[in-house]
Amino acid sequence: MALVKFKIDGEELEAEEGKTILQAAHENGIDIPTLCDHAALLPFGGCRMCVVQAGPGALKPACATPIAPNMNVITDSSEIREARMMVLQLLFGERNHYCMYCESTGQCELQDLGYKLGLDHFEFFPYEKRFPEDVTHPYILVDQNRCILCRRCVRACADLGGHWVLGVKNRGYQSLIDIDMDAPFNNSSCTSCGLCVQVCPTGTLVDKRASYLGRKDQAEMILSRCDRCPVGCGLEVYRRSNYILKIYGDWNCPTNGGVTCRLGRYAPLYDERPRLTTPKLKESGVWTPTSAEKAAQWMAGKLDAEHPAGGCLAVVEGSLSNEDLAALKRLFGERVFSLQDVIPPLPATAKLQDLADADTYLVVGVDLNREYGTVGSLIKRRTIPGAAKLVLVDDGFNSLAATTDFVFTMKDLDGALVEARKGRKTVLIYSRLPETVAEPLRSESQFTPTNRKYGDSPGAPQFLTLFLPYESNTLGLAQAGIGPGVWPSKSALERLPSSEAGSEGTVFFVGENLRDLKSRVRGATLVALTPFETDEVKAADLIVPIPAVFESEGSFVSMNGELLRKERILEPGEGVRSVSAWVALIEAQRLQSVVAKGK
Amino acid sequence: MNKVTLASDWLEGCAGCHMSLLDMDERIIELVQMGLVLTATPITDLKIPAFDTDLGVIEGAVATDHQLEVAKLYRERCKVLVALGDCAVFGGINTMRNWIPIEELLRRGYVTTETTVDGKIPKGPGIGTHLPRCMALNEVVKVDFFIPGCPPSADAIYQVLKDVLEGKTPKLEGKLLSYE
Repeated sequence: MALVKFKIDGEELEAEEGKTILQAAHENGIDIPTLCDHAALLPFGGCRMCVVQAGPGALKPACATPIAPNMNVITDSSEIREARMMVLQLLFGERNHYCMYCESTGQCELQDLGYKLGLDHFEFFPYEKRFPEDVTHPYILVDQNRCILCRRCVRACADLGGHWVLGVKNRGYQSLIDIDMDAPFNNSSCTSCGLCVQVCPTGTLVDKRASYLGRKDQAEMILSRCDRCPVGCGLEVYRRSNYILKIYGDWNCPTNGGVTCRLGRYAPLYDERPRLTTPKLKESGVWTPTSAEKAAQWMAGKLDAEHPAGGCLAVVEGSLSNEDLAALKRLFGERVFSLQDVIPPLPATAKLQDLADADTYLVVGVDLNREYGTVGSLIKRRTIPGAAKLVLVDDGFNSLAATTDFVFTMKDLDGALVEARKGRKTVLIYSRLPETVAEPLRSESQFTPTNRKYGDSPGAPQFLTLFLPYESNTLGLAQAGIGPGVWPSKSALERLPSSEAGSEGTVFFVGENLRDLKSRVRGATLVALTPFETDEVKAADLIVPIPAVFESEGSFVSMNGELLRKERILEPGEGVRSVSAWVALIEAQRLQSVVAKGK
Repeated sequence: MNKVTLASDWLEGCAGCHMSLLDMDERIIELVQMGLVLTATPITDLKIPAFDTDLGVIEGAVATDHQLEVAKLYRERCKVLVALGDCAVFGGINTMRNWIPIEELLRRGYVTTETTVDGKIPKGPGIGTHLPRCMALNEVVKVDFFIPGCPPSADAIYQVLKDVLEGKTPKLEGKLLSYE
């Protein structure tokens, strides 16, 4: 790009053509106050805080004025200061911006500007009119009295999130942030991605859970990766004394660029499953808390019955880190199975980055607003404005159906393929597929001379496949060679050499969401290593606490095949050990018993 | 040495700003030695400011007709009027009542409170009548200087008084201005 020469406050500078004055100033470390501007959003020019003198005529908003050759920009003069102060006075005078009873005091961009520009009183008297609040949303609180109408939330909801839930109604000072044309927030099409809260400069949109518990600068920010689904969004986690205040998407993360979804931002914070904090052994039908050593001894005893793993096998869930999986493999050898399938119904050829320039998305059997929300955002922000086409194939309710005209049932897959073939670059997005659908899609994705639609030659239409793995570390499981194998067909249990070994077979379930244990166990002894004491694990004979979501650390393989690292945010309680630590403890116990036998 | 006379009063406020004034501790003596004369203040327990008082300092918002009269009296008799603290400067926490009808507000305060038995709303010539809105001081009279904060720090008050005694125009910036 061509470079343009210009001046800011007398300083000769250069910037790429097409950049705004504000961007050029920020690149050169020159500060211009802003409110409605946000680095991740398009310029808006709404608040007029950033006015500068650029050429003759009225003051211009730096955020929305492109630099021109030889432009002479002045960022500070008495006229400019006066104009900014007037804007600030009008903003403070319009609604209730009394900092004292606001959640955002100390982390509010409006307040910061007031201090910076030396606002010590109001010229215009507020508190004339009361604006509505909406507290119906489970996670987000909306107080329009704090709103400065910068429309960051509206723009983020549409341009980044792709949800188009928020808008603005009415005119002038009576303008209000509008949710789905006057719907209560909890009854709207909101997917609870929380972007609006993340970009709000004042206390209008607030995380309910974080309210009045501390400010950003009192918290420690930890960059981590979300392991709630295989997308692996970058997260900014704010921790204050072993408590998570809030979770924001990491603006600088190439995977999600600040966007994240309910599953990553809110769901884990609202998890109310009772925590398991101490190992519990079932003794004649009654749970008895036991020490870690005793629990490890008990488990080692089961493992000792045969060599290497005796009549035991481990069944793992896809939330475990690679390190935990490696430890379990050390203990159980080949007898580690996955609860869920790990093989995609058809091989994946696309990565998340391919979504950015595709013109057709063929989504089959998955509601992206509910699962894999970031993927949903990535495609919805292109399909809803018409930059790309969404072809949806699903039976039953799918909230994506409201956003597209091309909705087909699984039976009518051919119709969907006709639409999909019109694209130059089509990305098939899928997770689980029934075989009736998987087969035609498989042949569609493979280029053959008879398949006249797609090809490898340059310019030919592309048909790529983006597989959404079933669990966060499904690809890690696959790489470690752990699959469902004969599990969960129950024949795995039948193979347990319980009778010959003289000991009963034992199944170790490891993970967070252990389901249907009872129906799968059939008489074998059952050990559950799990963070939560849910009804499901009560079928077990021994339950052993492992760290919950934010207490564990480790690596996992994202859907893009990248090895991502998740940080430990919270300190687990005493008695809670990681899977690797439990394995080490069991190994130590086994070693001890070997030594004892030797004597 | 120029003497500077100071009168102060509180209106719809909690006296916190005057506590902050006292919180200057031994620096009050320093200011007095520099020429500050405390005349009518809640601290000296004199009620009415003298004519031509140099500095009138008012804490608290204007919420009743009595307070409105005090505000006007101060404006009349003081050369420079200073609004001290968030209530005087912005209206403060008292403005929360602006959205509630006064009748309902008084009933809640004096009658329907859970712990009240046989309550009644106090009335009488000695008790002010509520204005429709609780207002900042500069909404009713001209104010020359503002010291925001809830309460303003003793440092901010000290800085302002010291600047005045030294014949400078005070200016609050940075930490002295911020509420936090």
